Amino acid sequence: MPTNLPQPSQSQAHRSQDHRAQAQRSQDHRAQAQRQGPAQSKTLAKAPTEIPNVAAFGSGAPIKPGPGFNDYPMDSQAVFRLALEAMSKPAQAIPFDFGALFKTAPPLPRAVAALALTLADHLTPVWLSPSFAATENFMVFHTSAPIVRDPEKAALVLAASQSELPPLSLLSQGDPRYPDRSATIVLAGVLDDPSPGLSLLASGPGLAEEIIFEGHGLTEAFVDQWALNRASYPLGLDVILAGNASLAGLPRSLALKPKDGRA
Amino acid sequence: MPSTEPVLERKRLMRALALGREDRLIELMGQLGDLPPFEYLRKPQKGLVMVKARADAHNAPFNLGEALATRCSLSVNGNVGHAYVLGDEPTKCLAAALADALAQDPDYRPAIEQIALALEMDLARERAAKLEKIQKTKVEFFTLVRGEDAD
Amino acid sequence: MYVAVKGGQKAISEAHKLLDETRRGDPSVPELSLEQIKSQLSLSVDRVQAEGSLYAPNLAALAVKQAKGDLVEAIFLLRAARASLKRFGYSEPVETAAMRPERRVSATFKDIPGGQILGPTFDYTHRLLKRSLMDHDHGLETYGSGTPSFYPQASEPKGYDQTEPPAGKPTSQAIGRATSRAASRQNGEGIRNFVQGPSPNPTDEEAPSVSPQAPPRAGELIGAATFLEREGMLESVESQSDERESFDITRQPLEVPLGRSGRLQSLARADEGFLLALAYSSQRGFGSVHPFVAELRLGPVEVEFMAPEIGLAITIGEIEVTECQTANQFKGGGGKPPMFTRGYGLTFGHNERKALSMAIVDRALRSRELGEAIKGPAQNEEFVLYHGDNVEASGFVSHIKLPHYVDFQAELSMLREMRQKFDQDRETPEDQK
Repeated sequence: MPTNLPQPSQSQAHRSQDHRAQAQRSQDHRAQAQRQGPAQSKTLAKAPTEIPNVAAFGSGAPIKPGPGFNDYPMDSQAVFRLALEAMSKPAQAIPFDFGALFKTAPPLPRAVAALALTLADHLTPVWLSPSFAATENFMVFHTSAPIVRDPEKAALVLAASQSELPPLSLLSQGDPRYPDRSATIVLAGVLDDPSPGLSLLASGPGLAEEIIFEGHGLTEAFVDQWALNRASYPLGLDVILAGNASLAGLPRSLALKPKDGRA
Repeated sequence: MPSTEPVLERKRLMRALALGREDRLIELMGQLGDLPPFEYLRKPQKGLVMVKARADAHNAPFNLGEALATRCSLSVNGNVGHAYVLGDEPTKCLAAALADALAQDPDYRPAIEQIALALEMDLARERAAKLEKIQKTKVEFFTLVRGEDAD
Repeated sequence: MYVAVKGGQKAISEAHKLLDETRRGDPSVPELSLEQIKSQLSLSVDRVQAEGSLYAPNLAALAVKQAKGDLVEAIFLLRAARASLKRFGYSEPVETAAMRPERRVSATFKDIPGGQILGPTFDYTHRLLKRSLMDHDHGLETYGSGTPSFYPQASEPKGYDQTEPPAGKPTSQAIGRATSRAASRQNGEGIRNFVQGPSPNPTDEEAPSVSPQAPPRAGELIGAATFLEREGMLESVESQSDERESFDITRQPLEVPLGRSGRLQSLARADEGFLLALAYSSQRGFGSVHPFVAELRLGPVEVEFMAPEIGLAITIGEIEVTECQTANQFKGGGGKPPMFTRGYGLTFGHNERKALSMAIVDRALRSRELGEAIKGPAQNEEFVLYHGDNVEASGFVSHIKLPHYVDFQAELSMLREMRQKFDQDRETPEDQK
């Protein structure tokens, strides 16, 4: 770098010592993603308490989207591997330290941001649920993804909670020749829901036998919709549940039913 | 619009920076003296731009092939600067993004405009020199009239 | 059935070392630099960019060096590099009309606005090896200029052109006088009328005076094809408005029938040799294309990109392209009148033969839409598009070098059984069968 050009300022905000230390150990991300047991995380990724200065396009105010991944190639590889694992080993919370990927908290929950940065590009129409609408700036800057107003046009649906998730039947179901072209949903606000919620039984490809999936925040209404989704296999959508420090995958082939009561 | 400056001028500035030579751009930026510190929003990152062209030069677009490009975004004194340049050019891209950010600062704008003009002049000179050489190969074909056609 | 074969790791590792050694060659000979390759073997670099489908001259030069000059191998390297990179998006369509051409010729019209510019071309060279380009520090200039001391009776060796053509540009007058007489006979009338007719008048649309300070402005270099189009004698191809976004073969699987935009993208990266042979076959009768080059241009075009975070389409640089527009005889049919139809070729870098061949094959592939009989492979979309990519072709053809031991044994075993039965049948007398 020529000496007459200024160097980046050293005063980037760091939330805590731990974050900075972890940002430098990018090797650990990959190791953690592949370990079967609980991740050895020094700090749990916290929900962002402060949203960086973002303004919607067109407002005239200067946009300053916050930074994305600390190390885009490595981090996106790790997150992709994690998502793959979550979909291959369904209905199980796979732990991951999302906090280590972001020096500065993104405007979306870290797991959601991590998936969006990994999976979306200029050809991925993205739909943002109302609570995420203000993050359009961040999304466009980092992914160039077209943000769509109509959920049925989206390939990637980012939903802040079940109440903000559009009816599954409304979303893109794929095409008989290319069933994989259906929408993928990233659903936050479920895995870490402290309320006991529904207890579900999960079975299907990827599971040697039926397992109990503590439904966390999943509602009966969702489970009913899920049954219809599964019935339209090979069409239908897939869901990734995004927690604070874990992901769980619900591929369309997965059967979910309440543990007690109705079949 | 992210910038409050007129759209046309920003376009022209970014073009001059992108088409300018890296060493010249660094030299000119160096003449600005000490610059304020900047903060990366995105470090210079390599990627591809799929180049589109038009069939029959004016018809339906088609995808010709991808070109390597570098992009960078940063902020200086609250102004956000962006740059996209063809090639693997992290230094040039950084300099261009800095110039774009500084151009939004009233203190620096006149100097940045001068840089853009200097780069445009360089480009015009280079192109003119090249054209002079090329024009020497301009040809005037003339058709021959055969004996029996001449009358 | 593919069976994995293990082993040979050490041998492979040694093979790679040997490859590096042979790539470098004699250590006392200076190593090639990428700058040398880029500037002095620019046409190799250009071909690699065009077929590698990646405009990146430094990487292409590296690929040429790494591949020891095997351009198809280099194309593979560049295509692989391309696949590892993130895509920012699509550019605005480049404006070849705004090109400041280094070279621009038309075979259909003698007088075109802006004139015919030969540029750096091989077209009029005499194809004689140039001794002046040989190395001088290896004593090769002694060849032919004296007899080696150990062979005093030897006469001057023949074979090299003793009188080289003058170095530098061919003289315009000399080239001008080479125009074909047949063309003047048949087209002279037409061109005279055309040139002197009410439109176009060359003086109205001629490029401004040739001075270094005033290069032709964008839009002033009106294409030769435009005149034919104005007269209605060259089809104006309707935009395929049913394609919202042009087909992208890097994002969607190739399927036939494919629209023209997908075909052009495939042809742009197709192997030059393959397209050349197809174009040639078409001209020789395996197809219906009788092409004229309306215009051939070579030069830089600016690339504009709309980054969503900027909100403007900005120029990000310029790339060199070769463009060829052809006019092809069409006697009419399917309700269409007799006229000239179009062919289009466009490549990264300086690749004339490729651009020409591409334009001919583009037109040949339009036979179906123009209601022409399909007579040759160049008109067969599946044949052309599925076999044109030399990375794919080379991959499949070359893979047969790799171990197929188990498959082979299985086949050998099967053939032996069949052979046994065959021999038995032959030996068995007729009445016992």
